[in-house]
Amino acid sequence: MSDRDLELYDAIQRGDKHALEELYEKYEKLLYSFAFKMTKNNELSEEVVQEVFIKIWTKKGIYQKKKGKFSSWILTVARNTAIDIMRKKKVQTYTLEERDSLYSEEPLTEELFEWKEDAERVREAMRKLNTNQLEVIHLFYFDAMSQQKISERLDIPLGTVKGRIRLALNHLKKHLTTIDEKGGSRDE
Amino acid sequence: MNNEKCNWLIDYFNGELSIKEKEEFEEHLKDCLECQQELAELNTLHEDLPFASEPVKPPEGMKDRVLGNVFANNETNSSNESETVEGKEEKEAERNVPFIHKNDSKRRVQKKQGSFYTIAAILFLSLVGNIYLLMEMNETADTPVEESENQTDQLIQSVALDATEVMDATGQASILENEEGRTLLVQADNLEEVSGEEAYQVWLLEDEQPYRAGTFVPSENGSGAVSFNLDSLEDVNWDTVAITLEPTPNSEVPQGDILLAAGL
Ligand SMILES: [Zn+2]
Repeated sequence: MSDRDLELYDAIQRGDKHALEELYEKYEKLLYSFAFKMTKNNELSEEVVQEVFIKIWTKKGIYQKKKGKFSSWILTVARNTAIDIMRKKKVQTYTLEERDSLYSEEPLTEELFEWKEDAERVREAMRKLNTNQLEVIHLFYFDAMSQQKISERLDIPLGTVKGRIRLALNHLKKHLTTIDEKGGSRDE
Repeated sequence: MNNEKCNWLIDYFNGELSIKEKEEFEEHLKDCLECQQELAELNTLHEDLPFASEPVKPPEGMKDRVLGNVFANNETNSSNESETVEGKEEKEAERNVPFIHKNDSKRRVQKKQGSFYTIAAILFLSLVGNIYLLMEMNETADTPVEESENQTDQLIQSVALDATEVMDATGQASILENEEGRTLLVQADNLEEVSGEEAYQVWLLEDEQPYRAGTFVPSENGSGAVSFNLDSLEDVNWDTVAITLEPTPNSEVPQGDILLAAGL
């Protein structure tokens, strides 16, 4: 799968529009869903996806193999782009009702297409976390809040935020490892 | 933990450091094994956590808009406009320095279908007070690309919101209509800062019955705006728009005092 990513990326380096289109199709829903999880806003999520592909298209050599798996790299760029855009806008928007009317969630079987297994694996691990662990991971990773804000939000001393995050992440990693060891959550 | 800079790691990862702090931290990072390790661990999260995002269907036509803009971007760059940002962008690309593309405004306008979005986007931008971008947008709004998508919005009604004793704010509510329905745009200035989870909430009132119509948090200079699709309240015979300050963005009924209101 990632070999295909590399082939596509090489073709994009040579200016192959079809390759960019194929890469876009593969990642559109994953990146959009991730951006939406962070920004909670359709407009901004589309902007994030667009920025990511503009970077890939216009900046030759922006991705190199030594930067790790292409999928992780593109998600990193998406997260950083979402952070930039949210900071820039400084606007927190939209009510839940409106948000609901703006998108439709698809049935779980459709999911993130070829990312379905990855999604199930991570979700299974997340389900094993307690509420506090889940909350701190959300505030830290998806909301990308500062330490200060997290400490206010959780009403804990600033100095303990990093430890809390660390602890929650350790739990998550542990659950992920267990899932991987018993062969994932694939139906058998 | 041998250095107070080690405590900057989280804010570094979340792009919360100023440019100067970021440089300082990167300097620290060169010598601090512990931070290097922790950062490497945090970076492995990108392999897993994004997949936990609930699947959301991308909006209609997104692929065409995005690819159109991506390819257009390249063409502009290679012809006459390959100026300024490139060098800066290179550095910025993978770390999140707060940064604004000069071309952002154009892209944003091009991908939108009509002037409602233009207005909303201008409101957005005026929030961050970037007059330069605003001028850019106005120029771009006249390009053929924009016109070819030709969808006209009609301003149905617009009123100034009246302040109450609670806060000396000002505001404006407008209703726009196009083929896709009606939209309420509310903008307010001179708002007090929010703390914690507080947010300003727009309500539509039918007699005394409140309906939520958008939440926003003002910018540093006290301005805020939100747009709300009125189709969801089609059956409601509301006659008043009001803004309150709520303890959280999720209040189902107003808990704060009305700060601004007007009949519509
Ligand atoms: Zn350190």
